[in-house]
Amino acid sequence: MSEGHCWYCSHPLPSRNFFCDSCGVVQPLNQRDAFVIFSLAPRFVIDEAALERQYHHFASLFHPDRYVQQSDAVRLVAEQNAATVNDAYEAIKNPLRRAILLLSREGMEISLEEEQTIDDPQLLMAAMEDREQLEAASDAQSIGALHDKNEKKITQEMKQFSGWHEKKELNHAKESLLRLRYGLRLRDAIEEKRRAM
Amino acid sequence: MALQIFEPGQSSVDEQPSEVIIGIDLGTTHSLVGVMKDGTMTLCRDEQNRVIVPSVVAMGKNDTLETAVAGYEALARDADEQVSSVKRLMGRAAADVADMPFDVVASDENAMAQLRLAGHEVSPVALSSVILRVLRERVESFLGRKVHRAVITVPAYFDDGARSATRDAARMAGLEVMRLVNEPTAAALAYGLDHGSEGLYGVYDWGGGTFDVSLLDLQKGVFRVKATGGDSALGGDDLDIAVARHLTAEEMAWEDCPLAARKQWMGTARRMREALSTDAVCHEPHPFEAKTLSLTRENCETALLPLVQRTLDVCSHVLADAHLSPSDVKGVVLAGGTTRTPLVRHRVLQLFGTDPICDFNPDEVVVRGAVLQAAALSGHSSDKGHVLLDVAPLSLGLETMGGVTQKLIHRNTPIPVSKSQEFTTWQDGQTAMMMHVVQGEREMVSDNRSLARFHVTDIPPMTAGAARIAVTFTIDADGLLTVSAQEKTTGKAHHIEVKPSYGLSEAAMIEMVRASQSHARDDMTQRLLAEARVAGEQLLRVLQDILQEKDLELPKDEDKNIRAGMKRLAQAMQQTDRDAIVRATAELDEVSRPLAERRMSKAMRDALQGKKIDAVDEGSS
Repeated sequence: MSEGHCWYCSHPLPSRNFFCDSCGVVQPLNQRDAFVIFSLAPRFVIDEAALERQYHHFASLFHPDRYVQQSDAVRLVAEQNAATVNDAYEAIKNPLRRAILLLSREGMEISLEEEQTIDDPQLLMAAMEDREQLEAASDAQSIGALHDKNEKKITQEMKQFSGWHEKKELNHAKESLLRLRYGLRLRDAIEEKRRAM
Repeated sequence: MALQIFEPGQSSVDEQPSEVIIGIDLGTTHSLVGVMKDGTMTLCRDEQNRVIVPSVVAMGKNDTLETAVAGYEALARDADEQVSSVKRLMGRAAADVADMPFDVVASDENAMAQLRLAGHEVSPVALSSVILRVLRERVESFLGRKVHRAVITVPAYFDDGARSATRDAARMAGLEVMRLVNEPTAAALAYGLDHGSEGLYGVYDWGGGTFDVSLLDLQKGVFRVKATGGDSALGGDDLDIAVARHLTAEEMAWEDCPLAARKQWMGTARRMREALSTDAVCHEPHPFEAKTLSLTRENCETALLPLVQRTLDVCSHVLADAHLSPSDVKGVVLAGGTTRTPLVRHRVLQLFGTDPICDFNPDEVVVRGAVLQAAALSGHSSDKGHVLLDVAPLSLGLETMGGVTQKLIHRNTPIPVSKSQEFTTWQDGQTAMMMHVVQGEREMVSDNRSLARFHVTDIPPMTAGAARIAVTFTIDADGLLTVSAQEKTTGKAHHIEVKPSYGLSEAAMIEMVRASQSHARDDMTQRLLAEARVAGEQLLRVLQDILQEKDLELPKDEDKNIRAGMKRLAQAMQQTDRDAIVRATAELDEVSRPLAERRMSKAMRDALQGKKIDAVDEGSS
């Protein structure tokens, strides 16, 4: 949708067209905002069925299998679109990335990867306690109990984040997001421990 | 002019005349080929009506390679003249296959293993291409026309090296690969399209050399892989070795058994193992002596159990990756000849709590999927456009400072996928940077599989941390990786195709995944320590450089504090106490901050002046 013209035949195009109405060639999906791509309201609570439906639709539309008979340049455009759609799907499906994306839309940037420093003293205490418990856990039952407790916290935190975000209380939302990120990391640590046993 | 109507994605431009695409299952022990003709699937057969081509290659007359029609029985007789299970060598180095009955030519560590066959050195790629050529000719004689295009199935857990090797073998056989399809995905396609299934299904695919398990969500023609896992060095061959070890245990250690005898023993073991799929006890002649060997199913299963258990562990991990429990799985489709073993079926039933699905011949289900996909790609499909959404089996990343892996694409990410990450220089005036691409789940680079190294050069000399190099990884729908790098301030692009280093076996790979799970905490401790050391080292290096400058004009007390801080940090870095290093780094950072700030503003002024000079140059040229 570069400058309103088909990249292939230069025919003028409205900006939301995925295919040129003159030559039929697929157009680069310049839209990067995952919520816009899937026509979803930018909220933490999402319509999962709608997301799945939209994802299947776009994943099929740009799937490389549909372009194998076409030229390299056309195939590349389709492949990039498919990659964009896949990443947008992951960005919405994954609660942490979704929360980060929502805050980023409000102008608040938080890195997914950056080394986590915990400033919240309450969270720090809880984190140390969790760590001790996880290290001490030696059987499936105690790990299962830790897992259940953490899952409950994750669910709670998601609700909290959603509430703060809806009220546009961004600083509270950010704090909640950091707690959520901690909970999800603990989930991974619990899973790793479970596998190691 | 006739009115033209375009389906989305089905444009009229660049369309080549519709050409037939065939489907191939290039297996470890045998291979199959089929094609869709007039809406009907045909698996092509030989004169004896056999649908299977043994994946056995022999050195024939005039020193040309040909497939050994008689298969395993012949293999046992002329062990030196032919070779089987070549698939296990695709993208592997000699050291990776030491345990297997291959006569491997010693080569350097990072090269694909070459085989010795009747006095010649041949590559696994060339041997595979011989099998592919036979398959192609079989279809050609059925269709009465030439074919040039194929869909080929590969184990889901095949890495980049093995996938590239498969594509190269096809090219040598005169076939362009239109798509590499993962074997379990192909099996799900064959089963799902036939039965119109909806819901969550597992595919347990255990062939002659590889094991794969995938979980797929089937919905209205969309076949979506949720998670996949496997072991590309665990197959029926290994079951034969386990049984052969048991049979020879009283006579000798398996490791002491000569190569030719090993092949004989494995043949005996295979026949006994297969007979025990239906019988409770089995008798076979001893391969070398005039006596009879007996084996009960119970003893056989004791020998097999550890290997079967490994596949079940992989199943459990894949379920956990997908956040699912066995009861969420509606059915498990069996593929691959090894699933004929009653013990396997029994254990799969136990794990998933549902009778495994074996409606199709397990030898044929994968090739059926390949043919269906080939038909869809050539536009000859009878179904209304199914879609296969697959995932990357292994995480991909880059080596960062301190030998730490920075993961860019996590395993089970839907493909095609493209991920970018920015890196920067860490020394003043640095103009080149080496990138090391690795595949695997571990934190430390040395524990993962090295895929390739490449250089980004001609980075404009800048203050450390000013250059911005964006590295993009792309995994395409065939599971093949490309990496590109671009320096953002100048826009200079640096593109490479990843050249696999073939340095590590699939066994090492599964070992890496397993180990990453049990050593997770060690890894984290090591990683944190390495990061702390890198941060400390970086700060020390910068300060050392600055302190050597002649016109520094550093106040005395500042100089004293910085030097004392440097000494403390250097001492802390000798130890393994991460917190002490972090503390010393923070302290040194604090006392050197005024210096750093003065210097940064000077660097900015210099950079701006440099830019002006460039602009003048450009204007005058």
